[in-house]
Amino acid sequence: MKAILLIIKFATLAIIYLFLLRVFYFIVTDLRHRGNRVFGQAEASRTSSGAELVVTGSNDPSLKQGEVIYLDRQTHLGRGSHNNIKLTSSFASHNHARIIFQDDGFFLEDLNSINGTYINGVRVNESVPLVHGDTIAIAGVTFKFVRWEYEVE
Amino acid sequence: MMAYGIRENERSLFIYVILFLWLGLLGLFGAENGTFAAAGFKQPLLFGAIVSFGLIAVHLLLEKWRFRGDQFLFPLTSMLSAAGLVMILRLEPDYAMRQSIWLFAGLAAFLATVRLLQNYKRLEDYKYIYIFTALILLLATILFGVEAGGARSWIDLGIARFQTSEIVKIILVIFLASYLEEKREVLTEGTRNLWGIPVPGVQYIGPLLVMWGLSLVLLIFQKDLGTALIFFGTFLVMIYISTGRWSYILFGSFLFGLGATLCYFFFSHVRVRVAIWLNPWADMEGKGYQIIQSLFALGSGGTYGTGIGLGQPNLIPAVHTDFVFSAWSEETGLAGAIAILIIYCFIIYRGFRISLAAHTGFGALLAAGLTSLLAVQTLVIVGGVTKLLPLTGVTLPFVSYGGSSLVSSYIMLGLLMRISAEG
Repeated sequence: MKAILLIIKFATLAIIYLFLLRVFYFIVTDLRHRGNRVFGQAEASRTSSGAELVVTGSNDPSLKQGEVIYLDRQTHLGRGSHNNIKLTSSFASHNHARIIFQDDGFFLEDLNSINGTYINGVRVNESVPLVHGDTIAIAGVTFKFVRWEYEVE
Repeated sequence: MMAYGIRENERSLFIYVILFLWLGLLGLFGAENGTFAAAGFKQPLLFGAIVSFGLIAVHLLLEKWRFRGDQFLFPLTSMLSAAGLVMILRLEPDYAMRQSIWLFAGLAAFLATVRLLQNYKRLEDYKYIYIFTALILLLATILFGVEAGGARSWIDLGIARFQTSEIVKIILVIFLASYLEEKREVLTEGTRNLWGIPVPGVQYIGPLLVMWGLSLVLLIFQKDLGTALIFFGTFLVMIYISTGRWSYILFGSFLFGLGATLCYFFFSHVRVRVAIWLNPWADMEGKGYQIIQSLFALGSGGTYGTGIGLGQPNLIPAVHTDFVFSAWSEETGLAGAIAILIIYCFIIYRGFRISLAAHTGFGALLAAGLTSLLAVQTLVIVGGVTKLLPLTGVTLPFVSYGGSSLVSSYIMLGLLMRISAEG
């Protein structure tokens, strides 16, 4: 009789702990699954995602306020004629800056310009990731950086 | 069987819950009768059948409604309820049937919350009506309430006694969630400076003071220390979650400390509680008896416990409500006690997870608030019976005997599940 009760006692405890292990297992798989899903979304959005620069202020006759420039994998800004966005101001360097697409994000790089590239008022030294809503200022022209997937909201 | 797939994880967890329930009942029966003859097994058999039926029916209904909420919370709380019911059948067999009826009421309330509250965000709109109702309920309790166990927190409805603070605490969390969501910016930014620290104006500190006052009123007029502690603790957690500022916690704790100290000097029952907490051995046969018996129960359980039905937890007064955790620990040991605490940890983890995944600020705050309420209450009572904190009589959610507590816990569960279905 005592033996049976002892067995029941430990069986009861074992059941609870098996239950807890099972819950723990589900929680861990749930977390892993969720992590994968976020990653998967980023993968899928790469083809459809994109970004643009909107000119918010300009003293440059070639760039009008409200003008929209779509960003490609590489966008060069500067005074040189090979640039995607041509600046005419004498404050702009020949090769002033570039915006590149890398690892799901856009990065702004200053190409050793003389008068500098500013992001949200801070001078850019090296590659800086761009976030939706950032303001970029180059030689008297200001751009707003817009990521498409955020624009909907 | 196409329809049965949405809540697969929940179903696979339920196998353990039901197995546990029957093993517990079998062990209890064997221990009480010293034999496994089938003749006397009628009552536990009926009891087990009713409870299993109730839990499985709720699971199948959720499945049938294709409810896409959290799948772990309900099995976890069912496990707690099953453990609670086995313990109550063991401790106070006369109350067990009543408790299983309350369980059905709780499950019904849970289903109603999940089913009828399709859009929980609408709760946000009528916040001042709730808080008004809550205040009236509290006032009514103070004026017409009946006293039990030293606290005046029940209203007698004729057929059943009803603990108003159980409902008030849910209302309070809903109110605070919508209030804090609305006023978050002002509360975070502050409107004036005091020694370089941004401080919101008096009109925004107002709610803090009102909450403090409410807790003190509970403390003084209802002599309900535990509920006061839970209210204020939950409030502080919620205001911290919504503003992210430590100054509220510091200021709030200071206010609470002040209130507690004042109460200590003005009210003898508070002094008694603290004295027992500091040294229960001074009055072993009298006021310290309950907590000492609880400590003995915890100690005599050892690592694996005596086995359900084989300990002597009935030596503790009020064992089936406030001290159910001690009884459980005596009969299942440290292993069982830790298992129960892990279950609470999982519930709290899921609660905050739901809060993080919620789409609206109100949903996030509501889920976080309900979860902290559960967490603070568990901490207060488990801390109380293990003499970590001064003992205050509150129930262990989902486990203790007590109808209003069980029903309100299941309503909270329903709200959490509802929020999770959106996220």
